[in-house]
Amino acid sequence: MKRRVLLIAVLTALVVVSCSEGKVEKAVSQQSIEKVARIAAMLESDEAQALEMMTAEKMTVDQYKEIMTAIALDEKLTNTFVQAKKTFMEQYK
Amino acid sequence: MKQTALLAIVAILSTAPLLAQTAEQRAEATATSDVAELRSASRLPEAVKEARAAGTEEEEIANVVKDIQEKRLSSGEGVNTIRIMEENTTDGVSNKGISDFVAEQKAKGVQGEELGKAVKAELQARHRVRVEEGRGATERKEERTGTEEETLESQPTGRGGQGQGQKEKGQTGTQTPESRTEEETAEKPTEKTTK
Repeated sequence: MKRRVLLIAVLTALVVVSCSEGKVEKAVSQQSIEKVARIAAMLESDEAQALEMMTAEKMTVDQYKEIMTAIALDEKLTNTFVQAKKTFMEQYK
Repeated sequence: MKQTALLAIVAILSTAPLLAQTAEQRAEATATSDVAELRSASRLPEAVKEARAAGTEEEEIANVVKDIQEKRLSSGEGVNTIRIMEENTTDGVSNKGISDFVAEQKAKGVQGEELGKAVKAELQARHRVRVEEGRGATERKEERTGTEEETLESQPTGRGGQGQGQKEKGQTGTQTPESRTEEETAEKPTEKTTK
């Protein structure tokens, strides 16, 4: 009986934690925009380096796409990203 | 028994390099496709920004982006679709409902460049239908106004309008009140009431 209760409590805690993590990921932060803008700018000139940057950021292709689609759905975030990418592209020239 | 075991080991050892090669090729292929996906994904916000600036329907843009999010569309297909929608908007054509068409085509297995061609063709076909419908409506209107004017012309104008002569098509008939009442009584004799 005690073991069952303990198991249910642990499972509930895991579910709650995973749900809250999902919510945090869905909100795109300024930091995330900057990271993906850097990678996007680097992709235009040096693919290998861009992939290295992704590895350094511990970012997968799916995560990158998720951030990009979240940015694209919001007009303000889109404008911020496009501006940031232009700035980084000039830096990487 | 020993011989079969030996043969099995030899067979496994001989196929191992081939397996390794195919695994490498697969890894390369996924790496290349990953890079292609990354490139397309990084161009998505710019494509969306340009489409918004052109006036493309926000609902259609959002539907395409959500399809990419939910992996119903690849990033490349999504970006291509949004660019086609933007061109369409610039040509003054509506994109309403095109995201549903894209979903239908994907369900049928149409993908990549073929999907882009199908979307373009569909938008052009819808535009042609709308133009033809518009033309048909204006032609019907012209016919109606033409027949109305003909009936006006065929009515006797001599009673109140001697010297008026024939009226040209396109002109609305102007009648003097006297002639109008005379004509009305002529047309509708049954409405006369005796007081």
